[in-house]
Amino acid sequence: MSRLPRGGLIDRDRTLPFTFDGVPLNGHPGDTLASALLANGRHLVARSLKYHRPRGILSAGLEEPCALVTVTDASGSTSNLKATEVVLSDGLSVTSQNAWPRVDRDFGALLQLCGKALSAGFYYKTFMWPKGAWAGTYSRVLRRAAGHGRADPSPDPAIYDKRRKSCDILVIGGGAAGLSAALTSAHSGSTVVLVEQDRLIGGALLSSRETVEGLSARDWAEDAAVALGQLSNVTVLSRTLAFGHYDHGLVQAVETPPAGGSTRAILWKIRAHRIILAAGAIERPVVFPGNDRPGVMLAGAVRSYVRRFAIAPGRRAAVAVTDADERADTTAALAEAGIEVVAELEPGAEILGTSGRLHLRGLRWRDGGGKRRNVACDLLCVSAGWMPTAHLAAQLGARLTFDQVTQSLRPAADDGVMRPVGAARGVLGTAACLADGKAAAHEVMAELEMHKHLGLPRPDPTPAPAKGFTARRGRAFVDLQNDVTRADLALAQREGYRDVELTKRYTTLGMGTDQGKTSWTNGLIEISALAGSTPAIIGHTTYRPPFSPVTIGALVGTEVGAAMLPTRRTPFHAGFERLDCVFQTSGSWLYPRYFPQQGESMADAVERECRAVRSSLGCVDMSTLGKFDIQGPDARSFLSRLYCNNVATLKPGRLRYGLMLREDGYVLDDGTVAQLGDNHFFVTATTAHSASVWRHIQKCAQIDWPEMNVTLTNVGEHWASLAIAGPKARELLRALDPDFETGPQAFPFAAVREGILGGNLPVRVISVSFSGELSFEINTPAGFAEDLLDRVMERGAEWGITPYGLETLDVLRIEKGHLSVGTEIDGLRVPGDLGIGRMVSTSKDFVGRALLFRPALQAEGREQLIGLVPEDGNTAIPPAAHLSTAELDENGRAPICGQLTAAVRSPTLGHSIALAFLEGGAARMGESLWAHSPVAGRSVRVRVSPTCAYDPKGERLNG
Amino acid sequence: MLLIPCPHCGPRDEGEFDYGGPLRTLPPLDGVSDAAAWHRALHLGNNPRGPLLELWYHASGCETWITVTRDTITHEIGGSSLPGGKGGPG
Repeated sequence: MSRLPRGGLIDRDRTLPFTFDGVPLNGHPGDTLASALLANGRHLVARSLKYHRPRGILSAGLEEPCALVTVTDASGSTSNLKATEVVLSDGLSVTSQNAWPRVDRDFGALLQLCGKALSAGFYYKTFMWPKGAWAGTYSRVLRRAAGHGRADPSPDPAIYDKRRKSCDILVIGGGAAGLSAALTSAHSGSTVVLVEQDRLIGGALLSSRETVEGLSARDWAEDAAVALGQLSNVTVLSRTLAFGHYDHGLVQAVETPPAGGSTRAILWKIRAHRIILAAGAIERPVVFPGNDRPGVMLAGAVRSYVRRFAIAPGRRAAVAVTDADERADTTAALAEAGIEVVAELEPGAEILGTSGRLHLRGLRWRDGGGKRRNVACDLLCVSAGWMPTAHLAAQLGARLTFDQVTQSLRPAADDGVMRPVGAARGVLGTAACLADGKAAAHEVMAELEMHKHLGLPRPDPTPAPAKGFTARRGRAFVDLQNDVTRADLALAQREGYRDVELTKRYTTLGMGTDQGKTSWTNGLIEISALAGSTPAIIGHTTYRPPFSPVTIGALVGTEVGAAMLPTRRTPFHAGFERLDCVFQTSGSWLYPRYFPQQGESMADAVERECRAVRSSLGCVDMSTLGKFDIQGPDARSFLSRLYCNNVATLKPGRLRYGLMLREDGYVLDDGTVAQLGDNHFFVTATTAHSASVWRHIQKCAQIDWPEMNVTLTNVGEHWASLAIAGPKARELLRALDPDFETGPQAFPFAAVREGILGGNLPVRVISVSFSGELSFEINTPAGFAEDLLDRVMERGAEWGITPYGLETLDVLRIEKGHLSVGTEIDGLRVPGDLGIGRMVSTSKDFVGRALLFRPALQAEGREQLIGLVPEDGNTAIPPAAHLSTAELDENGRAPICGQLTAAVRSPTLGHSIALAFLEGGAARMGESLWAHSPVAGRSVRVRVSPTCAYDPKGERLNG
Repeated sequence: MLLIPCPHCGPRDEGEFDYGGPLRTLPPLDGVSDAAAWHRALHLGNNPRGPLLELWYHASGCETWITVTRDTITHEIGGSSLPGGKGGPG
């Protein structure tokens, strides 16, 4: 055990058992998985990606490149979690990755012997031949060997939530600079949100031995967090990682509440007037041969493990830290933990290598005087300086610039919505960070006119020490997560992959789950040395969200399965449920599909429903249609512009089919236009286009023709609409006892009547038909829907009224050759293609006219809608088939001249019918063709016929 | 995600809006405008680097078409207005 007898921010009174690769271990509340593993003397926790080298815990934060593990809890397993980020909870089951059979005896480590062969680009170079082997053999083997961890294929039962927040000032990071900025802005009355990725507020203060305002840094941080938490204008979110910076002050963050709660993660979208980025800095490792052995740790991480987690991560430590103050602080921390400091390397020393197999056992170096030294040690604390965590400042496209003074990539601008402060802009040290946070808060408040401008000075970034460590040639890892060595970077240079974006992709430097958090600056310095350039010129690769991996569940939230889209139900829904309706989703609607009787299949139900409508009486829900009320002195001319056919001669009480084109001449939608009064119209749009047609006519009224005096109201949800259809429809309408005339002369086809049924049910009835039968669409205010349905079912019983759904609706409309949006009206057709070219008015202007008459849109050979019947009068035509004049050749190919849009068996006609687009189809009536369906594996002889297969003269509409 | 100032509703998330493209002045429906004029108006945009006058429809809000000046490089919003002077509840 390596746990120190006292100290640390852990709860020693409670023990949390967990397992690592099946071995039971214990930790305490306050531990991360990494600290708990170290407390149990476990340094070796993973194998590296490519060479399967033993890897330990390098860091104490989200920059960790090595210690990736799979964690299993009650809801399943999650791979690639950083042990340094996982908050220890009761009963975690943790397994190592990339190792077989075990992390300490890994078969894959033999790959180390092929180091040369596995250099950058080896996949591309090695697996070129034979060509056919890639898909079959190489890819299978390589995919098994590649990658980190394994995804859990089982459904995730956890709950993920999403929340929104807006504030004056968002502070990202709760270290010295962030706390100082948050306190300053909060005390001036700004609304403040402080997000901190750690479970504790304080950042580096938590492992500092400094004092702030007479308190220990740790106590000061705790007091500050408590003080902020008590203010009503402040929201403090710990365990919340800000991972993305977007336009206009939007930041996305993910909160990971403590285990055992109801929610696994919460996605926050926070909109702020100003964002103070106090995300701190990441320590830069030193690159030298054998720098990847377990036991080599970042100096700041060692201080954190000693002081925050009360762990001695070794017994004999060597220290290779460039900055003198930090070196002193590190040796002090080691002394606090009773760790013997066996060597302190001075900058300028040349590190020659390390020894050890599964753990560090010794260090060799040459000191400033050129003398070779070596020492036995099991811990090596390294630091080459600090790299500002300014990733979020660069996500919107601003570049970070390499600063020679701090030897780091820093945000260049300091005047945008996002304001880096403290270590995130290269300012090191507690006092300087406190001052910077305060000054930046005053600065942004002055900009927001919430505070007078004090003009407090911002501290300068802290210069890096003049000298660092050098290293001998040898296998030195620049990127530990992806096993990228110095030699790989040199190879990329030699082979011409010199642009940093190319270097990254060729060598994988900076790729993977850590995106090069510990490796990029070292890589940049290395590349610029190789290229004979400077880091400022080489630059960096593109920063994109997320800053650190975010669980997909958090991005998805609760919008999964049935909750993915809102479900819309029509006002008849409950009534249809009582009629044993089978529903289906249609767009956002839950719409009747068919109404089976006991033991009936769908095909049988549809056949029965079709026969009922054709022979007697059926009813169907039409509530999903778009419905718009259009009024005003210019309403008639407004509609005349909107529709390409003549609607200007419409009379009150009458109704007309309306065809709407887009500005470019293609068909947008069809519907009906009913005139209620002199300047009052009621128009419908198809279900699928109800929203887009509404948007279109709003644009016409608001933007294109503002001079027209019209008022548009979307009344789609005001009305419940039930169509009664069949030869007995007029008799049923009469039986419903309307207060208006119902005879064929008084209420003909294509008319609209408003009145009352049975003395108390208000209705607007339009005689319009999609089925081809005599039909009345009865609209009633939505609240009366149940009443209407009850009356229709009760009075209609005399004629065997049969409710029907989408399946029957479709069969009936295909029999009539009526158009459907999405199948025939698919955005590629002009009226002539659909057989309704003659409907287009030549005596007025309308939306789409000018471009409709472009020659190509009027060409004779265009695909035109036609009907199809089987040549033998019997064989079923396969849906979605393609049309050809020829049989399939021996390769299963044939020249195609058209394709089907719909194919059904017509119960009325007793055979299969189809609709199809056929090149020059209108002039090919009676021609014999092949309908090929590779999907169904069938080819059927078909004959071109009129689109309307049933009652072509439309006589049944007038019964 | 942009923050779009709706003249009726104030600053709202981009997700509440549908994009309507650059503001185009369409030829009048006078029976005279020809295909060439419509082609120019509909299909030949300037696609500038910099400020662009655009149409946005506040679909999940006041259902008004508004114009917004947006910088195509920086996304900076220069302002918004009701071009037709009408629409929505205002």
